[in-house]
Amino acid sequence: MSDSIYKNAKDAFIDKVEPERFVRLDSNVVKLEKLHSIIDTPFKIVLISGEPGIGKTMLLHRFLYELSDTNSVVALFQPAFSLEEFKKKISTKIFGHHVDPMEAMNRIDGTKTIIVDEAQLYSIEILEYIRILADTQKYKFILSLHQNTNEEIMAKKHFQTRIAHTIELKPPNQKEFHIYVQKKLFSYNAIEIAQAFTPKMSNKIYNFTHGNLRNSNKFLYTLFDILHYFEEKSPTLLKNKIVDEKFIEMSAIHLGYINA
Amino acid sequence: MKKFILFLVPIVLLHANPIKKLIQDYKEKNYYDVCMNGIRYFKILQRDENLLSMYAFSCLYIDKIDRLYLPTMMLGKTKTSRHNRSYFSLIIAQKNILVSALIDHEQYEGLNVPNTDYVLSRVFNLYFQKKYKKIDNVYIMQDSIAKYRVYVKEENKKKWLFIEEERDGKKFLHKYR
Amino acid sequence: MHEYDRLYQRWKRYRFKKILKTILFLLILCLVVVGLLFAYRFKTHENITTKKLPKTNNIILPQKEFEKHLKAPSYKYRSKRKKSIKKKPIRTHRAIQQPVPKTIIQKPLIIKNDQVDINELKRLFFKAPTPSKALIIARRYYQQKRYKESALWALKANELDKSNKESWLLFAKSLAKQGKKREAINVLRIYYKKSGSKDARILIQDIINGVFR
Repeated sequence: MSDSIYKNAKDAFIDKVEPERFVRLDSNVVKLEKLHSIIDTPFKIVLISGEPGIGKTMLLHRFLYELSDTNSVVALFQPAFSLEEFKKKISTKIFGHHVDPMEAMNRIDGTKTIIVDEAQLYSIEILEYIRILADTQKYKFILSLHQNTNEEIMAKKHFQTRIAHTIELKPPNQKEFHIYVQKKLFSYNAIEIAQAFTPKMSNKIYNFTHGNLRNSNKFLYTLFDILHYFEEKSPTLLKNKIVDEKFIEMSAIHLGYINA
Repeated sequence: MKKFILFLVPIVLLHANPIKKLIQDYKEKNYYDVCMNGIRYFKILQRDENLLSMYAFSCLYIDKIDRLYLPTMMLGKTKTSRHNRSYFSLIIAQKNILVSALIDHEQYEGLNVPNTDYVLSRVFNLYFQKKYKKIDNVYIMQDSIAKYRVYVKEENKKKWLFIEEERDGKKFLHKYR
Repeated sequence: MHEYDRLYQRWKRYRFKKILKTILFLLILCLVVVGLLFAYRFKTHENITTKKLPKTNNIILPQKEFEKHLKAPSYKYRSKRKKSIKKKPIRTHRAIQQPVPKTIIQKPLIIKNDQVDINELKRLFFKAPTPSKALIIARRYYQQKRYKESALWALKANELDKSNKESWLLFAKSLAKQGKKREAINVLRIYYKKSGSKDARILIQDIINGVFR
């Protein structure tokens, strides 16, 4: 199996956290800047909301990556399922060992910011505890959760006036999406493919995934996987094109976007 | 004195209602007087379709077909006047076509028009059905109503269409142009 | 990967169905368009059946019902002639301020367009009065339905030339138009007496029997 041009392309779209290869788009750059601007200001709660797969987690990873001072910010990307677990996780990250965050509060110089991803998974109990911690003004929280869920409503209810900012993430438009695909391909050295990938193709995929990045990644991965397979098996199918339209359709069928 | 009498005459005449006189003439079949005098009172006649019809028929009976144009245009308020309008229109058309055919030797075909009781219509139909005998440029025709001699003759440097009609032992001469 | 081979088959089926659908759609579209065209043509196309013209044996006869309804319209006419013709004094007009020169060089007044100002005409008249100039002014006023003024100017023309027929007639017409029919007729009678003019006679009759209104 010779080195296929499609291999790199496939890699580009594997769902993994690589903040250094974060694709900057106009829309997400703005959000990042916002985060940077508020991180040092006093606040209790900041909400980051957006539909699942929009890139909240990736954004937060990138944010952390960009932070110069990593001491005062910790992040919980794996959810905790009980209050005890939660306390354990954050105290370990902040203090290095398991303590009661309320008791250890005074040990903190200044404030500590805790980023909590998938906050919609947290129970009311934990949310209330977060509120209590936030009220001490020693702990600041950035909560990332899925938009338009009961959990979001509940979270908002619980925190009410304590929410200083809400950062909403929206899917990219068609133009941005195309840039995303190309940048991704470029950053993974799939240059031929990046050059051969036309806006028309991006639009076709956009029509299926509506710009949802997780779904789009999956789609593109599938696409290059199929291309890779047929490149070896029956190259004539490729019709001398790097990406023939039919493979996009095939991906769509495979993933269930087209009923066939 | 002469001038005074002359002056009186028009005054005397002024006492009579001219329209009444026309009606009187029409009833007495003085069609010539009705048609010739009627033109002067046309403005009054045109206001009444009955009077207008009277004038038109009078002119028809003295073969003054050209005088039928105006009344034909103006009639049309009632069913009867419209009928007479068609009647006059037909005669006007037949006169013009027949004159053109006989004086200028124009060819007309496909003429299939209704007939009227007027002499010209009868001659028209006989001519276009080719029911005639031509002897020395005179067309001799006959039907159940009369015998006809039709020819073209020049009078005062103008060509006229003459129709001699012999009907019920009487002879009538009609002249058209 | 087996599944991708199967996927390819699926895709082929999908493609085939899609093409079929497109063809079908186009076909239906064509049929619809053609159908519409035909329908439109049939609508506008009138069914002209060659009708045979029937042989006309029927004669159109005139309808003489009008003869029963012949009625002369009523109109005013003079019942009695006055025994003596009163000579009505001709109205005097305001004296001309400027003296009339003895030798008048008649400059022909050529009016090139109708829009020559009436005041200009008057100015020219007063500069060198002639019956024709006065009549032009009188006619203009008559056209403008200013019968008082047209009478005045007709009179002026008449004073300059008593034999001028038009000045008589125009004066009488102006009077008649003002409703002064009697005066008008009188004037015409006087003139007719003088000249025996046929036009005067006709105008008298016309005024009497209402033809001239």
